Amino acid sequence: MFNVQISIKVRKLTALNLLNTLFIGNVVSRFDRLPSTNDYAWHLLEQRRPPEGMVVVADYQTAGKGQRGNRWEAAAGLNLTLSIVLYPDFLAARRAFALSQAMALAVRDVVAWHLPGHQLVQVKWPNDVIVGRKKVAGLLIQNSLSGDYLQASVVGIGLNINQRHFPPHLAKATSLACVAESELDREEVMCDLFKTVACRYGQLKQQGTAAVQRDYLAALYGYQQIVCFRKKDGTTFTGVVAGIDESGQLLVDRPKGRARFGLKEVEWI
Amino acid sequence: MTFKEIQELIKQLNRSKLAEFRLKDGEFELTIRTEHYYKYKAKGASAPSPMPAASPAVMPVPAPVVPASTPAPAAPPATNEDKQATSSVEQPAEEDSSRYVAIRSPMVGTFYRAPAPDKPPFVKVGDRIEVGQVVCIIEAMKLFNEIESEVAGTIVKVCVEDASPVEYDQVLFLVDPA
Repeated sequence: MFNVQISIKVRKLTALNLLNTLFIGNVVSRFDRLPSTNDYAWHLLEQRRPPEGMVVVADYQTAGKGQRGNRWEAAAGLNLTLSIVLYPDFLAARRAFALSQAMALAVRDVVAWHLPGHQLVQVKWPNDVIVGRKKVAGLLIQNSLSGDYLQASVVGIGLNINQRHFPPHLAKATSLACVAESELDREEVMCDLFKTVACRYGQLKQQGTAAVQRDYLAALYGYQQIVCFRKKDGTTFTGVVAGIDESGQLLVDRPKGRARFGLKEVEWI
Repeated sequence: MTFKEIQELIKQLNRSKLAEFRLKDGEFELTIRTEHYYKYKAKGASAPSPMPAASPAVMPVPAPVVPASTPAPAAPPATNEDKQATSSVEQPAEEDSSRYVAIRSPMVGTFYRAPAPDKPPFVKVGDRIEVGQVVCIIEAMKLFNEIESEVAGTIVKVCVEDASPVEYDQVLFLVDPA
């Protein structure tokens, strides 16, 4: 779609200290458009050490990142696309998935906060946030590692807020406004997101990975239910979602025993 | 061997990390040395052994330096030749590996040598790396982890194929800290 590298026009680069959060978002860099907030934040990390909790926000990403090779698509000015810089150097590399779990919970929390109480907001393994069966937010986290511990992380969050119409290939996407049936204040949702991220990050830091895992399982779509999966070879099977292991693999109980699956090994159907 | 075949062979060798290639078939003898040969030589490393990639016709190649514990593999059938030459797992000249330092995977995931599919690899065999330099990405559950080296030295071996799964503590690279 965007083959041409668009020169970045920085209209406003402001440091806001107005946001009432613990430490997330005390420094915010805002852009009308950026190729990718994650790339920009990562670039900052390579140049110097920005303060922990610094946020890069773009109204529009021209090359938003999804999973390796995929793109994150979001309409301009309607949604939230931002990246948060963290230094989770207390977290062992092999437990890095806990950071992903904590951040998915933070997004789940803020979505639930802004929707009517009867709406079930869940985390779909590994870290999508869904309402009903539709995706409202996705995460992409980049870490730098040295030895056995994390050094720095850039947590990229894409949260659909006021977009009402999605192209056909994004049929399984939704937004807060679609579900709430009214427009929301993006700034307000963003400030609340900073609070929930600070809370969940604090939980991970102070209570450890077990506490995060407990809450993650409580919010996990399909947990302890019978789910139908399709394997890479096209065969399907059913099993009970039994949990998630330390590295983030899905544990599924089947009649012949427990199996574990990586992200691309199975697909939920 | 036709001129065209030799041209093709040179092309394949350039793409590989082989230092030297020798072929002897009756009276016909061919030796091709790539830039890697001179790289190793310049560093004063022990004489680079020609890789045991050869056609069945290859007979006693001037003694490759191979540790006694790893007997030189029997000359593989010619069909293996291309495979070996284009394999993306880079093989260094075989020599004593005890002084090498391993860079291991800190987690379960998928190993990537480049920041994106269309980008060049972070490091390749023969590259000098510093402490803190990014050597690869391990992707696990949508977490993209850039792995920094804890040692300085020269990459002598890339032990894992690009985009293949790795286990916790699996050796990813061998580094010569000298």
